[in-house]
Amino acid sequence: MNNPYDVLGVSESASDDEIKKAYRKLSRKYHPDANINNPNKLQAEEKFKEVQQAYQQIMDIRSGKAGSYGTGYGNSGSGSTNPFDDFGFGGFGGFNQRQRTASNQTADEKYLTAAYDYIRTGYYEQALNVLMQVETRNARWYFLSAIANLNVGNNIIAEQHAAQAVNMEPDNMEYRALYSQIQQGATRYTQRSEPYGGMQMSGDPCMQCCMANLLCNCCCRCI
Amino acid sequence: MFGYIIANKPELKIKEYEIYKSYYCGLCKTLGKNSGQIARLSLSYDMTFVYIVLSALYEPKESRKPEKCVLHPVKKQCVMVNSIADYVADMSVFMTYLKGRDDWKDRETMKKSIAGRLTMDITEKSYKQIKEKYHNKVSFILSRMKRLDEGEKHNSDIDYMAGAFGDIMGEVFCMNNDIWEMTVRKMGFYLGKFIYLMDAYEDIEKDIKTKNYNPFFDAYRRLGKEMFDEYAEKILIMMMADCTREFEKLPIVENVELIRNILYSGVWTKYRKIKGNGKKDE
Repeated sequence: MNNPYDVLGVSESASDDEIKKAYRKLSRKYHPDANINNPNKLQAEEKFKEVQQAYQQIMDIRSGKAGSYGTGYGNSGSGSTNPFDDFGFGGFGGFNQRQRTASNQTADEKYLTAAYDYIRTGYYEQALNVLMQVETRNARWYFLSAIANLNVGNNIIAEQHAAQAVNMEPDNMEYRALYSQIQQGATRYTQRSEPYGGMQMSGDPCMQCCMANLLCNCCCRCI
Repeated sequence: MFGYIIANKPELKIKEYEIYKSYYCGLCKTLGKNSGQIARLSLSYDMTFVYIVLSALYEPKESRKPEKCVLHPVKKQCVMVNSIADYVADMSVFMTYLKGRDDWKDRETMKKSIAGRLTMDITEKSYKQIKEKYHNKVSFILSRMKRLDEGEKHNSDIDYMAGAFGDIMGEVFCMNNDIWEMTVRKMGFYLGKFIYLMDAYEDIEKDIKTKNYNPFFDAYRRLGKEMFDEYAEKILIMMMADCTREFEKLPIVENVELIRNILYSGVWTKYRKIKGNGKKDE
């Protein structure tokens, strides 16, 4: 498989906007509509698809969805048609398996294991169904529920459950990492909104520009 | 439609503002051409946004030229038209019909009810044509409208309700079933959730007085006004954070700063006004 960065003709350290521009340049060149009279139009179409896939791959890598150039650990298996697969286990390293054999597990533990397996393979609705069967909701239950909910678009419930998991087991780094990832999304958004006028009542415009320069590290519009 | 998806005008460059207007005018013209002059009432900034985003994603051949307009008889307006305008115009009329029907059924106020009925009658013929043309899309959206109706009766949880409206917006954004579909759908989904929740936030106090359904009712009662305001703001930011995360995955280069102005700042315009009115000293 070709290196997607090479396909687009960019370096691996290129910014997202540079990647987008590179994509556009190539897609305009190889788009089927632009090659109707081209004798090599089949090759152009092949190239067009290659360019599209390279772009998708880079975006997947950058959003943490895929590891390296292949499918990432813990992300959606072939069964998943769910469009919300952004929060798999890719970012969470290993799972601290409690070492009990299957026959010694309580019913609740069996459900949690099943839920984890469903999440790992991308079957989030099924994971949620199984979680509903659990009698005692411990920190792990809230953690798994948060991930499953996040992946079906229930971000409000997910944030609450992620917070609850941390409350119940404050020393668990995995739970903290998930909660932190959710918060970071909001922080990044707030920072990014500054150069466009931000969210609050606009005050003195000079002050705002200074603030934006301080906060935003990709300030493209401020002078 | 709801009026939240607008630009932060003072922050736009003049050329960005001119482009924004040209898409708005382009949508207006297409509405008139495809569904009759009165369909121009379906025109909204929300759907203009959809028009701009899809145009930036697919970069169709565009025609942009100055034209005369009944509402602007003195100066010619620059009008941007492309193949995507037809799709967006159809969706505009469809959504307007649904909103009219919703207002009519809600019977919240006499005025709103009658306006809803009128809207329905005006757009009904186009609605029927659109229903046939986009059969699957329309079925999906209607199923989600049903979820909203039923959900209100059963006081369903906030993610479920906002998600139903999110699904509708996601479906509106999905013009094509192609490589971008998942990302575009998710972007529309979270934007839809934002719109639904912002609308609910704006109406919470009124709904409590009139005992109308509001998805924030439980939270408001549980948290009290000040903590509720903080909670609602946190949730709204989360919606836009997720929406923009998806948007930034799309290879959009044309008009990207205009779109970012809207998504990162413009969508908070009404919110700024609500907070400005509510607070006595800041």
